[in-house]
Amino acid sequence: MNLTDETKNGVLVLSPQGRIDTRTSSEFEQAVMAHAIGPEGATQVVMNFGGLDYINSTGMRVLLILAKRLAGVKGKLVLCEMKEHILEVFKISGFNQILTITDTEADALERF
Amino acid sequence: MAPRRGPGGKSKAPAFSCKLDKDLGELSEMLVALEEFAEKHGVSPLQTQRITLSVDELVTNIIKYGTRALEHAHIHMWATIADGTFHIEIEDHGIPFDPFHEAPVPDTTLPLEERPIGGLGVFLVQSLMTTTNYERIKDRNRITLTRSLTAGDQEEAQ
Repeated sequence: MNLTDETKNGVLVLSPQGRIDTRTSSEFEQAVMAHAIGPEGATQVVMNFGGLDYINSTGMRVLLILAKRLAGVKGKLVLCEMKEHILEVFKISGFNQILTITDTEADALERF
Repeated sequence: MAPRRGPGGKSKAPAFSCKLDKDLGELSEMLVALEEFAEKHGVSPLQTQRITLSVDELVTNIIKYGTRALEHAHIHMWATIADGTFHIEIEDHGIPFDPFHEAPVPDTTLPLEERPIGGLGVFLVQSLMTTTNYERIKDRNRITLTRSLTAGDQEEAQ
């Protein structure tokens, strides 16, 4: 798992690559929280899943924590570019009802 | 981690088996090997991901909870492909636990602020697999999963 970050139009874009499983989810959690939460953390966040091949429920847990924390500071999280098998799991979990998911990163950035 | 014939495998159906201990690194490697096995035998990427995720969720629970008090977990996993079905067995000798009846069912309709953190793993397995079964055999838990490969290559979720 690798996480890159860049800022576009004042929105933090985080792009995890590879696999987020039980072994790597705590690393993912620390990296995400370091960027998006904390004294100078961003509150407007896009998570681009284009390079993500795999995520299990321990990784999804991190997204739920992040979405809750951002909602608590009037921030926002938008997910985009999800592969078919990941989108399926998010729909089964009802995450598509509580998180904003768009097809492309450009669509995601328009939600801010 | 070399593929070999599963239990009761009298046919020449493709088979994969491996043993692992309480080690999340070993689990990661096993999942990648399982994925390669499935893809090599023509299982579609979507079905492969459903299978890999299901095994991951169950073995993660066995490592984190079921065998927590044990020094070694001795988890054994077999997979075979026959008659258009992907068949999986997972055994461990942790505490007796039937994930399909004892794990709480999450409410996936709750709004963000009321959503509890966690508890989705077993629910995902039950949603993604065609059948799920649990048995306690002597001192071992045995989970049996099947995934039909001939149907459901579209998204399961509505």
